[in-house]
Amino acid sequence: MRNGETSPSHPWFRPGLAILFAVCWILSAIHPVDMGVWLLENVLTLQAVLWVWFTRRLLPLSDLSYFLIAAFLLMHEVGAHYTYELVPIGFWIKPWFGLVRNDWDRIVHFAFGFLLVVPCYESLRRFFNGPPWLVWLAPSILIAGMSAFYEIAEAYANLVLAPYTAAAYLSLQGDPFDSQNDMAMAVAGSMLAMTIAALAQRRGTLSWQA
Amino acid sequence: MASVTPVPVPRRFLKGLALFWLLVIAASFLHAANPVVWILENLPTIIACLWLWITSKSRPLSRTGYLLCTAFLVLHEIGAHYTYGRVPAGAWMALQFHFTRNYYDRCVHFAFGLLISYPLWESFRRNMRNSVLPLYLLVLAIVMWFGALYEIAEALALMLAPDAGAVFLAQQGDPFDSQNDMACAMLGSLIALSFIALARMRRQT
Repeated sequence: MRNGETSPSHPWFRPGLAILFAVCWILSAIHPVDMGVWLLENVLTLQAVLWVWFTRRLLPLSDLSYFLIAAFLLMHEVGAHYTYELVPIGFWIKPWFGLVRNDWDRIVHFAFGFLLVVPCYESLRRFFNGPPWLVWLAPSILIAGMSAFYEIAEAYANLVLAPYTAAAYLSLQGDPFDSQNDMAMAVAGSMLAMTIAALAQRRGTLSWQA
Repeated sequence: MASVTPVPVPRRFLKGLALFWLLVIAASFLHAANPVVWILENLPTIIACLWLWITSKSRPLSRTGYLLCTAFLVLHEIGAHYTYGRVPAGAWMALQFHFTRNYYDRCVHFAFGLLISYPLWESFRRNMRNSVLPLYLLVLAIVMWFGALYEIAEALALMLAPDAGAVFLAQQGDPFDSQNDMACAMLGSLIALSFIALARMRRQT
């Protein structure tokens, strides 16, 4: 992507996405299972929305990227509404894969890597230039860095807010390697997405400005 | 940012440094407390050696950059020699400050962020065009990326080889060990990056 060019956007796409997201966000705020957890989880959503709003001219993304960000945030809102370890989808898939815990949080960590590596790639591409392997690896590094930061924030929130909500917020569910597994999911998701994009680019089915 | 052409490091300096690295690694291997753990700890060392050697022509570091890497190597090899949970310096600290665990591993995580940020900054400067802040953020992300990969590797080692893995993991009863380790690396990196930013601001004015 050469300085500041993005693929043309449909005029109704971004406002439509914003309205759809706002409606779903309000639905998640109605009678959440635990209001404290909902508020805590929405700190992340607030940060993401502020970032998207304030970089809309400085670092405009493609429609695809905005869609992926909204999709990820809504997956996160599902977790915030039910609290992550009580999300119904997590219970449905338990018998299919023989899981011992509600793995919705793992799925969302994977989605964080798989979906958000695309806006990371687009943002980074404005500044970053180098050999192809590094161009495809660098967005995944950003994802891993953010994922590690999230795990640290989660753990310290747990220390500060221990008696009240944070046990649910942390959602360890008895897994001693929770933080490593979470980060591994995000890294795997981002690397998978970048591998697919790199292969599609090479075969010419994708003309992502690389 | 004006394009700065770094002063090339003479090949003789690099060869001398490579010899020093070999000596340090050999000294660490002799009478290592636990050879299996030593090998696990030195897998990242091999990757680092290969990376530094391959990139010594295409993206060379400055003398300072190579010396910082060397300082970190020495700290890591000490940990590998004794295994991190039993490094005498950490035991001494625990005695002095009444810690309940050997904090040498935390110190090395902190040192990783502090010492490796500048070499990374030098190395990736050529990839970031006309940008200051994104480069700093990228360096921070790379430090965190290494931290995360190292923690994942530690957990994998525990699953594959429970005995050596437990020593390699060096959790020592801290349930938030992985988060604390990564936080130390992040803090070290933030300090190093602040120094770089201050030094560059002073040079430009």
